[in-house]
Amino acid sequence: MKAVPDIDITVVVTFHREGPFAIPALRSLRDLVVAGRAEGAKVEVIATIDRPDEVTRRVLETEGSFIGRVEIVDFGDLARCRNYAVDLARGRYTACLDGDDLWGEQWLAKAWQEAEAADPDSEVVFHPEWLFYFSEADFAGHALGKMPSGDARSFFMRQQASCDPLFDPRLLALQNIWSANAFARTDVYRTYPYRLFDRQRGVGIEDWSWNIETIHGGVAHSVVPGTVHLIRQKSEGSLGAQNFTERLLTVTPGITPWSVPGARAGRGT
Amino acid sequence: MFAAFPSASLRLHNSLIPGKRPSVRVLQFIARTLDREYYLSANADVAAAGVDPVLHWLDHGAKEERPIAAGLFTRMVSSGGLLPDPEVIHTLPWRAGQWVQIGRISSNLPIRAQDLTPVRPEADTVRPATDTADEDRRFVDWIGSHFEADAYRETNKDVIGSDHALLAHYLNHGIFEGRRPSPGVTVRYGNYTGDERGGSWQKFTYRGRPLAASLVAPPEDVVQQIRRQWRHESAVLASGYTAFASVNAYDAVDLWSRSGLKFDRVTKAFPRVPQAVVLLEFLGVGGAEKYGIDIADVLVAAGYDDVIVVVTGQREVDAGNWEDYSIFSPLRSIPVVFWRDLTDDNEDRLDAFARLLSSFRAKDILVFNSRLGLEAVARYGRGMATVSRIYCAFFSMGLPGRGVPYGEIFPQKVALSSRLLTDNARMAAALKDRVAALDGPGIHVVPPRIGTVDEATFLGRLRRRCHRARTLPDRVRRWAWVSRVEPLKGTHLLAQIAQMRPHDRFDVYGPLQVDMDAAGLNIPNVDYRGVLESVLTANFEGYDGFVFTSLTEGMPNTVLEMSQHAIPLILTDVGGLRDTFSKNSAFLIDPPREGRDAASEFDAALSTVAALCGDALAAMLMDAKAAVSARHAPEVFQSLVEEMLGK
Repeated sequence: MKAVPDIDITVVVTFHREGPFAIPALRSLRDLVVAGRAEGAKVEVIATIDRPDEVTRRVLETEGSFIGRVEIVDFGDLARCRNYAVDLARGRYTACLDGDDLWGEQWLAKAWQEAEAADPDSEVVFHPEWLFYFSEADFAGHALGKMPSGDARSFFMRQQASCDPLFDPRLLALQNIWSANAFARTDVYRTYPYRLFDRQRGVGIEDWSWNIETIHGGVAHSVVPGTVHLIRQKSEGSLGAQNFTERLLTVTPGITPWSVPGARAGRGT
Repeated sequence: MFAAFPSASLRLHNSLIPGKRPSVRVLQFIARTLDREYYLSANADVAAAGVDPVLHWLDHGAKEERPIAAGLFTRMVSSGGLLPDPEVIHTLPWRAGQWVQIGRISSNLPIRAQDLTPVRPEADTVRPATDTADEDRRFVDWIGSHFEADAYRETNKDVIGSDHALLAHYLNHGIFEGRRPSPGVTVRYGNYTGDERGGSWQKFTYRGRPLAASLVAPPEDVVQQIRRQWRHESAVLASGYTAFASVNAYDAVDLWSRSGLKFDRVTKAFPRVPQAVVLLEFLGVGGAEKYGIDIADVLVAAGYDDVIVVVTGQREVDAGNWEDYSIFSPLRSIPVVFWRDLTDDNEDRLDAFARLLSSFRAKDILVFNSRLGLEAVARYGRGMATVSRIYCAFFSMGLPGRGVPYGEIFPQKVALSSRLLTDNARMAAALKDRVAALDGPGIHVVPPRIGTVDEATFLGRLRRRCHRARTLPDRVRRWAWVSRVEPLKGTHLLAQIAQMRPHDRFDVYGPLQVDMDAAGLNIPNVDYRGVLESVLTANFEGYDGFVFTSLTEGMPNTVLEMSQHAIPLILTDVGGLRDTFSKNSAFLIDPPREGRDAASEFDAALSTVAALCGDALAAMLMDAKAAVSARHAPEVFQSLVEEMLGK
């Protein structure tokens, strides 16, 4: 579907079996959309629910009234859900979000401002500067003062742009260095669709693979200062846990992080 | 020695494995001195893992130089580093060429609270005591400007005093005990070997040892945004309404913090993407290692652009002078990477290893007894096989109750994604029996290569042997036995044979895995003669035959090499020996099993050999030589490897 001039941002959010975790995610998402619209952006939201359970479906019905389009699909694959939603997107930009996370309310508005300020001819993917991985298990060591328990599982990750002096595309051979939370022109997603999960062949990890492919294709990855993505640490059910359990590798046909031609374009912090 | 730690006596760990064993003095000292409560409190990772502190220190803490008690540091030094140091109170032998030193870190309290000017808000005025070494000053200044006394006081209830006293406590004690000086600051003391690119890490030297410090903390507006999400999800602040802002923080590009890998070393180790990767467990003189290196040699000869050998179970420093051994000569033209030197803590890092291997998109990955390599293929093989051909070599199955070789553990785990490779038909049959139903990529048999002697040398040896047999009919019969001295090599069978032939002499060559007593060989007509530098170049003309009693094998190189000495071969019929030898070229005797008297058969065979001379002797020795040349000559090996690789 082609971009419609009066839509600035399409928010693509994917759900599957988040259950009650979808409630805070949807409320946080609503804040994001409100903050984005307050900055003047015209925002549409497309949600996909892939093979959902009854609880997740009900939560979407009761908490997702602000979502313009809800697509119930039978893909069993996050990458396919995103690609499907991107095809439906009418916004000039698309933001991809996961349905069990939360976001600092500035993320969407600031990412849009950064993207609008960027060179219109350049291909740039924006990420939040900070990731905060929180864990419910930390209630057991809840600290009342300034210092957390030594056992705290929550942690921060500060993301770096591809123009950062410490960035090296070969890092992507060993670790994923950008989360799935991405904001880019919609045509970037269409040029680089997410690779599908292939259990039989042991490959998947759509966001990591996408980061490698976009970097290889000369797309810059940038970070938006003062923004944060809150990621729930789950022992099971999350994609990260699935990737670990199934011992998946990235899927990037014909390319490798070792053969990325110059990847030091774009804007950093 | 572990009586004080019951759990320790129940488990085998690295420190008790022969060859990895520190000295008894170290074991005794650590068992007696290590403060378990201190160690667990200072090392949250150990406490979380539920590992016995003594075992942890022996396996990891020693290398990481973790203190063993409050105020007691440890460090590893080589012989060349044994310099006088007033802080060192004990120096004990660790392993060959290495020593462990134990010293007191705070015996002289070089920084006193009264020597420090106020910490905050005039942080830039903090100065160490005048007697502090110059190199300490940089760190003291840095930490002085980032130290938060309130937070330190709050976290460390055992420490009381003014702000200045707290900073002094941190510098004199807390830093060595792993305490955090303030939110957002991470300090690693004593073992800074991380990414040389630095990043958020600043490098210092403190009290004569390396130190790295990092300050990564979210800005206040990000903290506030997170806090506001609490109204949607209370777990966001589970670690504490204020404290959450001070949980650990890393840079995404900081591979050292995230996965313990030294990225700068990774990129230096692999300057180009290799076309073939050969994985070895270690660089030691062993059949599997020789086989893997010989195949790497053929890959180079076959025109592969970049072949690299990755050693997965050993650090370079532990490989010693491997370059001196002839079996490693092909590695003069092949780069060798020691994977464990790329990690922070000598750990496997399986996931990173598998991802790295896969990322090369190498044409071929070949695994030779590398446990990490086999684990990587077992777990990630499906994905790896989408970009590379994988070969996993297996040489023998185990004997019931007598050890478990990788041939028992891994074939079914790797067969779907990997071609199985072996050096003998018997193992190929065993592998086929186990994995045929899986319908994997298949099984290849490539007999090992050996260096053969030229015809003239062989004929000279043959002539002298026949002459000796003819001219010295009443000589005392002498028999050579060459292998690792350990029960699986049939040392007890050899002992039985020797006892049945009290007038013969038996000379034993090879590394002692157990002492002669434990091998059952402490008997009058058996002598231990040490380790041969090379079987091919040693002189066996004074012996009447070569006795090989091994109970389980793949394709033993020693036997193949002995065939070049024009010496009668009396062998247990194990592994792939029957692939090469027949009754015309050697005596093949079934190994002892329950109710089977192999010793008597050996005794009879030795009597037959002792009486051999003339044409019969010459025919047998020439048959053996011809059989080995036909199957194991370098050109035969190269042809089979190339065929396997589709060249």
